[in-house]
Amino acid sequence: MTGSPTAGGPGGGHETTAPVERILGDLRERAKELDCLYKADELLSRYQASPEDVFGELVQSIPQGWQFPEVCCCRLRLSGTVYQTPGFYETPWIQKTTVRSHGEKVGDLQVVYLSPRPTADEGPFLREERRLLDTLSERIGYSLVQRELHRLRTGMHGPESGEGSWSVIIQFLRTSDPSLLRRLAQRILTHLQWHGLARPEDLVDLLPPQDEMVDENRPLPFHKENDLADRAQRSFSLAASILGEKTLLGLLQSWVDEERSRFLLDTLANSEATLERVSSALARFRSQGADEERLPAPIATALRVGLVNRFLSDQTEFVRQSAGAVRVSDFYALTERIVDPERSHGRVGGKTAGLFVAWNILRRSSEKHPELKDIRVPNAWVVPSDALLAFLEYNGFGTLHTLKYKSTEEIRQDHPNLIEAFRNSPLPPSIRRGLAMALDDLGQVPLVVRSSSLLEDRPGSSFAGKYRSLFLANQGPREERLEALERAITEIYASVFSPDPIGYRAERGLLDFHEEMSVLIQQVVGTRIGRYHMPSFAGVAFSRNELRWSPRIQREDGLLRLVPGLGTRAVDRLSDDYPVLLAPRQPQLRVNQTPDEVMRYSPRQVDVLDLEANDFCTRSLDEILRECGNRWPLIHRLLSRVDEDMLRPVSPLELDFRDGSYVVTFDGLIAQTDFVRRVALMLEVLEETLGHPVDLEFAHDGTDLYLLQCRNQSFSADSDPDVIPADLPASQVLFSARKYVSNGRAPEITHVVYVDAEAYHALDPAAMREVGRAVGRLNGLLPRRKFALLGPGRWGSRGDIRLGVPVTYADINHAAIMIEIARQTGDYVPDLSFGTHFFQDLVEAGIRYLPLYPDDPDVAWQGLFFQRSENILGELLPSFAYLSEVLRVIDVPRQTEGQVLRILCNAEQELAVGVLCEPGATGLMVRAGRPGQNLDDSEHWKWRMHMAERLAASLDGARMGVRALYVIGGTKNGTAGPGSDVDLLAHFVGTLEQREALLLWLGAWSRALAAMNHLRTGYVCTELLDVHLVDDQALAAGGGFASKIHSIDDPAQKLEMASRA
Amino acid sequence: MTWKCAVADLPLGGAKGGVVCDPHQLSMREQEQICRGWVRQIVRNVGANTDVPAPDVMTSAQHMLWMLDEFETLVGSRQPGFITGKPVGMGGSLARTEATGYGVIYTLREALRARFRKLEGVTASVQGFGNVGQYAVQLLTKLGGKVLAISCWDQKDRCSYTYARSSGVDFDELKGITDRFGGIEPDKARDLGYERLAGDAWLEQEAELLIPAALDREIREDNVEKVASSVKMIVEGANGPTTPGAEAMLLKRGIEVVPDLLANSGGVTCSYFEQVQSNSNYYWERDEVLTKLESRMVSASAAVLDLAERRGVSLREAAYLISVDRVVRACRDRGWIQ
Repeated sequence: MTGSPTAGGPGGGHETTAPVERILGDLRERAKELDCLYKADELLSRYQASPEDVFGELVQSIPQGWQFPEVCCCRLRLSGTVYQTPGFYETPWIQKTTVRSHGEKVGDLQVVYLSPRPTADEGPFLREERRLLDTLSERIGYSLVQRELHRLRTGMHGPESGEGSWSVIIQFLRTSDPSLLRRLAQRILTHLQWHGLARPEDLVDLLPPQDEMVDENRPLPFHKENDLADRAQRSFSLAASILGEKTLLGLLQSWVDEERSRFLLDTLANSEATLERVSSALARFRSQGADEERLPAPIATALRVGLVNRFLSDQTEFVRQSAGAVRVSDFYALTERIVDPERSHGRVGGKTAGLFVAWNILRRSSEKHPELKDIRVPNAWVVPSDALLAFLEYNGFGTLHTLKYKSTEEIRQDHPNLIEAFRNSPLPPSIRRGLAMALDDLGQVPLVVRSSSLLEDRPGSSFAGKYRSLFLANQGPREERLEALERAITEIYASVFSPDPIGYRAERGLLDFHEEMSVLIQQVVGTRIGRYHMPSFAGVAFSRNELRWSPRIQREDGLLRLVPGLGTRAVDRLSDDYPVLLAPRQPQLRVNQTPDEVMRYSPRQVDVLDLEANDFCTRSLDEILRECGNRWPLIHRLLSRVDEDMLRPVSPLELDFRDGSYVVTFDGLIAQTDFVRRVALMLEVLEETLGHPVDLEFAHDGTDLYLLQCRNQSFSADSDPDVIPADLPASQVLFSARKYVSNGRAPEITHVVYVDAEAYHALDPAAMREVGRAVGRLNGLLPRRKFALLGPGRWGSRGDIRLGVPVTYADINHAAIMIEIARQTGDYVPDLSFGTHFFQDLVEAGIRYLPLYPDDPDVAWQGLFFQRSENILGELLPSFAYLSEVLRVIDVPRQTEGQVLRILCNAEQELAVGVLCEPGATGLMVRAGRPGQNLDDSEHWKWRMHMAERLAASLDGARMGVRALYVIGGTKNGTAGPGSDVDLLAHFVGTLEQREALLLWLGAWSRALAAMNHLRTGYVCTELLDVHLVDDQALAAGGGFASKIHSIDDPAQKLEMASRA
Repeated sequence: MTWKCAVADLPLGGAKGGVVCDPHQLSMREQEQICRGWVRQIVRNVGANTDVPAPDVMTSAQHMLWMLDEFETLVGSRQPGFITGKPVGMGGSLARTEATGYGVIYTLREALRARFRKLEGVTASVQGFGNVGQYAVQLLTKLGGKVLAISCWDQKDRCSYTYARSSGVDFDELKGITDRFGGIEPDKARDLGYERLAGDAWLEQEAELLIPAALDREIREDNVEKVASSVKMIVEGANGPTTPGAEAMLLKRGIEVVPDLLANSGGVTCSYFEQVQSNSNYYWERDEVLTKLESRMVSASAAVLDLAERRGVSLREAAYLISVDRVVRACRDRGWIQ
């Protein structure tokens, strides 16, 4: 690949033209140049054609590569033969170069302009035209050698071949490449010797003389080489007599091939070589028609390892896994899509590398598995990793490298300014030109600009979501699109310096690594549907299923999350919507069975790119269906028709979106197409080849399935196995499980809600319902995501409530983990629910599920802890104290002198343990290389609750006329996010003056809290408190907010005040 | 079911049957096999004139169709009357969705009439905006009643809310902002002038009627006190919404309870209609179904109201007396008992 023509940048060769014009002109030149080279390569590799045809056609094609082809002529003289374009004559405007073959001049190549043209770098010629001419002559020279070899080879195999036909090779090489001849002769002897094929006496005078005495302090005596040709002749002759003519020629062939790849190996070994040099070495390798399959295995491996190392990653593990999976030829296309490789020594980053390797594995395995043949990847370009450094340097941002050592608060405070500064800073001109070219190649289709960090996807550091992915609708005039693309890239660059990734890297001990991030510019898979651009459907797939909804599903059955439209909704957990879940190897075992469940847990929102608004947005499914459902490819495979209480498959003909009675089930896709089988096969092939479970992103545009990303699943947070120490003291282990264990993290547990099986079964149904109600009340009182529910059989049982405590999801939605206990009764063990009654709610909220079988051998079960510990139910809910025999609430720290319960899960070992340990315990409970993965969402409400308590503790209610202060809403319910308000409810009984004083005082708190919140989270707001005052009258009326105080389902939580009115 | 059929005066009895399995652990194909297998086992004991299955927990129209298909294959003839709960076009009846909700209002109208009250202008507060609640509100407002408040489940906030408007609910307007699970969109409701209150606020509304049409055990001893003094009557659209203790307290306050047994028997009546239509292989228009439903509900209500009046018992007692009496009489007439 050659660089862009105006390498001199602003002030270069064409001062007079506008920048865009100039870029366009440059690009046109570059395209011509490349065309010319490709054409030449293509012609020169036709070894079987006559030289007249090849070189005759070549000179005709060369003028097209010059700036003024209409007046350009060309002449090639080779060993006395002249090939030229009609009308060639020498003029003053001439460019010429010598053609050499193995160092000897064999002719020359000339290009002339027949009439004068404006002066450029070399007369009227451009600097790049000189380079092109030189490259062409080099390739012509090289092709001469190849032609000769080809002629010899075909001659040898022909009927004429007989005794000593290899002697022609010797004759040829003697003049053209003596050093190659020497190496070949040497190798043949080594071969004979190594395999013990020749008698030593035959070899004696062919091998270099052995010195009798080697003195380590004295140079070896120099032996002048005798007649090389003669020695070679004798060596070959000996070899031919032993090996036979055919074997010898085969060996020679493979060694010659090997020699041909030498320059590529040399380039790869040279750490100074720019990406451009590596790419052009690769292009040369390609143009020679080198066949890597014929190369000896060590050479081929060295080439693959070298390329992986150079372009993809230097992580040993990654190199080992992928070098076996890719071929040299796979890199041809990749190198053509790198922005500005001219000065770059960078790599393409984790995301691009993972996708590249995965796709090539799939392509290669399509012979064995034809289903994988048509899996595609979206067209994409890469900005290599060191372009970030170039950007920083170009704009004088060098000092930013020290930023990461500042405190998170400082970084956060500076970050908005930094984003602004980055967005307003230009990319270096060479990168801009490269981007322009990329943009032209990608066309006017929506793009997604994604970070592809070098640190991303390293073992143990999943940066998923830590850097940005930006969608660009990419519509409108070219300049605007280019500008938007540049801004997106600088914004991605700014994200490297944002507090969250820096904090994350600090936690991982990666801070001192120099972060270089490459950028992947991908076409967004999809079609235009009305005003939107989106794929028909998209999703993520995992090799391991960590969310088993049935004991019949194995971890190895995998997991699919499918959504209509863009896959963004499948990647993240959703708070208000549900993707369709599927185990690809058991697609018939669906999570939801009744039509009501299916409808309730089906996707209702769609992420799309709005081409008219030039924006990424979320729309309701019904809205899009009504607007343009008829144009949505494959929509009939995604939907089922709701027909009273029946879901029916739809045919394209009957689709009528004027009524909204459709629901996304993907039933048609699952039953009528091979989609699920293909995904399952993809997972299987990739896992087998890469040697680890994978996590894929994909999208389907209605015609083709596209792979968008492939990562190691063990790097992702949800699939991370806990390390379970083998020597846990038995007294600390409350329970263990050896069946249906899934990976994934459960927070520390401070409270256990335990339903005693025997006592529960002794209750009458009405009392059983009361247990359910009490659990619901506890759900509102216990610390969110810090308590575990343990109960017999099936939580949420609806029909026969003897099978389990009747609760709805709202009754348990603050739990951290739901545990079902199956005790043997007689000779049978009851079935557990696996959370099916509200499975998808649990999944989206991240509530864990674990089944326990205490009667199994080899498991621990300290029933006494649960049965005998102090029961605080009466303290919390006096009105339910009568259920104390059945329902036990255990305050773990109080029972265990400050310890908490940790539930460690390791699906690989098929083992989970509930163990008592110190809060925040290290040592005992360190997770594999990843402490403190992703800041718990619950931090936000906890902080808010804490601050509300502090506020109340300093509130002089007597002075300000406040009788009581309550916290309500998200802070109380444990759902507050980083940008949420704190809702306070004050029972106010004072005067107007007191009211003013109170509001002033609260206002100051509010602004201070907002500032603190900004430093913690980056969310900007001026006030954080939302205070509602209610007076006695409102309280008596009981409506509005006042109703919260005595509400049953969502009661306000009272705060302790310094004093009360 | 025997008692419900008896009070609605349907020539059907009651029985339950099922298969012990967890459909969540089974594929649809496996469920189909179970349905068909079940029919093969029980084929001698069921049939349009023997015993008629209908959907219940965890079964849907799909299961009914598999069973029907297996049954027809085994007996070698078309037998749509073998089972109910089929979709329209496959032997199902029109107006099945509306039947229960409409039935509630027909019963209510009769009960009011017996108290010399008209439906026009009566005010109500409704719990639940699902199938039953929606059609009850639709018919009630159409007949001139005024619904002051409706409570419904909010899937996003995971709690229920009551939407109230003193000028009354406009059914079509509210239905337009309701999802298919009966959840009302809070923002749009606010824009339309509805006030959003706590989930149980429906119980405290100053209305003349309460129509609980959601879950069981919603009016209990611990909240029955909240029922406003304006309330004259509670009509049970749901199954078992009032606990016996709470009912006793209501009756003491002079608030009548129209029992579920009677009030929500529109559903089973329509299932009966489905079977009648299937057996005669003649399917009625929607209006015809509703007209017949109305007349059935009117006579069933009249009998209960009349007995309660004559014997001075509660409506629930009257309903049970009638149904038990009808069953006993049938047994006696057949000579099973003396």
